[in-house]
Amino acid sequence: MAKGDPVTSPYMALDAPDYTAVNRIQVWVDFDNTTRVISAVRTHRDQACMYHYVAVGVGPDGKPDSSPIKWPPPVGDYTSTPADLAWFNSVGVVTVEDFMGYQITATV
Amino acid sequence: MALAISSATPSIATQTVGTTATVATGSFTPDIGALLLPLWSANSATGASPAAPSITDSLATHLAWLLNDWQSHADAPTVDGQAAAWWAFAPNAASMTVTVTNGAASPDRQAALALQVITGADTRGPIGAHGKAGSASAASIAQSYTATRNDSWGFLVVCDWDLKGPMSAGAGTTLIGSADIGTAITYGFFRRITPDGVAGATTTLNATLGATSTSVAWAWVEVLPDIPYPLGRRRNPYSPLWRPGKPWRRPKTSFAETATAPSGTAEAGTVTLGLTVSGTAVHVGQLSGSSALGLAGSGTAKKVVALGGTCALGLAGSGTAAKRTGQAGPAALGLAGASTDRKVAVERGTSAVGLTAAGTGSKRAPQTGLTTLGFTGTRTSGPPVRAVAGVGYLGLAASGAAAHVARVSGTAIIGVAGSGTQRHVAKPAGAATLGFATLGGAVKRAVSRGLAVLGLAPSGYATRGSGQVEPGDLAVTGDPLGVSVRGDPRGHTLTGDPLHTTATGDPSGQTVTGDRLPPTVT
Repeated sequence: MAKGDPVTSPYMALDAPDYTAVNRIQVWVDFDNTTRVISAVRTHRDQACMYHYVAVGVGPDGKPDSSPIKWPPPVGDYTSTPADLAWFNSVGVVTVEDFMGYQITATV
Repeated sequence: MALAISSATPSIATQTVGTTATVATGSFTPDIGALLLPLWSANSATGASPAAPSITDSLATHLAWLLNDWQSHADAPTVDGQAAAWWAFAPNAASMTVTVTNGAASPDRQAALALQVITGADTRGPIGAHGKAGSASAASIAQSYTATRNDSWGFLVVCDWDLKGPMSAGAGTTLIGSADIGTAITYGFFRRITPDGVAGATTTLNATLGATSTSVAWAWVEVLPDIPYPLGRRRNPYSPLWRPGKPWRRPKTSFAETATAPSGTAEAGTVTLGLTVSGTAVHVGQLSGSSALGLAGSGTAKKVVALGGTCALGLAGSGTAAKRTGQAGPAALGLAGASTDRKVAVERGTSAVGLTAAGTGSKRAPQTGLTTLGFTGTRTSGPPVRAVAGVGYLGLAASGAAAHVARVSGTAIIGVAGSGTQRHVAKPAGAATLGFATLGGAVKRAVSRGLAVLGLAPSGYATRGSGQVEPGDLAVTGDPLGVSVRGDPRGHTLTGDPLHTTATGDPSGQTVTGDRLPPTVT
């Protein structure tokens, strides 16, 4: 990807190690490079990681913890199911640009 | 206690939206007294120097964040991208978030924020070596500094504006996190693997970029560990508990602390002592000074701060929002008694003393003065006592509202304002002046540019003495004994009779009116 160009699939949306700098949560977004529609959201969470949630955006109080787009990735590697994608769609996240339209972080 | 990264450390937060200036950490609850070290890597517009970033937190009383370093296009070698580091101490174990605002123009505000919660830092001054740099051509960074204390810990924040992909750690260094933010920048956060600083020895933070970048900005900081207390005490010949040839003994007196959520901050000072007892959001801070002592009693939101001063002593008693501030002045003493919203401030003065007793909204502020003493008594609704640019003066304001004592640019002035309302004693630009204003309303005493002047305004309403008075003159306005005397007694013009007599004109015999005491003097 060149600077300023649209991102290409897969896009690593989050790499959030905890205080150990070893245990972490990671998020990748797979999408169609032409239509930009998300085809899968893949996550990884180390069991000992202090963080349990991925927060996309912030809530009304400006805090990621209260974001309406927040979910707990399961321990280990995980690929979203159609039901998961339906939930993303229900909260307004359809394309990768929708996903990138927010601050992204991990929370406890 | 050795330095350690707290498990309370929040996740790296990334702002992927170029039109949004802020990036906020997730909520975290720091250890009491832990050092908070936000590291920030951010985008900026091509070829432009961004405005300075700002930082805040979600606490009701915001922490006093200090910027260590901020590298941007404004600095050599004028490459794009930003890197910055701040610090503050956590006042207590309250849940909080931290937000940094990018000063770059939209839509180039993408940023990543990695806040490190560090325990075991030196509360007297947690930052040792630190700095910032940039490069117009770099595939790696080897940032060296001379450690200032054993077991210190180095941290590094990098912005690769060219987006060359995730970075990795070099020798002796741990990667905290690195990734692209969209297609804007690549951020990288690093630290030494362990707190391995050796005082006087070179420590290096090594980072490898995704590829050679023509726009790299970074900042680094050395965090200092606390110094164990007993080592110095054990050999302290000034300690009354130390005797030559005998081991140091533990004092029999015990100190029990029942405080909840105490906090204290002492920053960048020398021989600084800060004590805070029970309460919340108590703050004692000392910046760039020497031999400062600050005490904050129980209550909430009390603050004692001495900036750039020497030998400053500040005390804040129980209550809320009491404040003591001394800036750039030596030997300042400030006391704030029990109540709310009191303030004692000294700026650029010497040997200034300010006292405020119980009440609300009282204020004492001398500026650029020497040897100043000011008192405000019990009252409400904001009575001011001010002394500006004077030397050796005394101002007293007793109970009441809106009493005022002011002294501008003079020497050796005494002003007293008694109880009542709207009294005023003012003396600008003079020397050796004494003024009193007692009971009553709207009493005023004003002298301009005079020398050796005595002025009295007793009880009454709308009494006034003002104007320019020559050296050696005596001016009295008003009559505490039912007498009115005006003008110059030597000028042979009297109005009123101190012995219940009314005299008008010249008592030397020309005109006498209303004399009730025989014989009549003419």
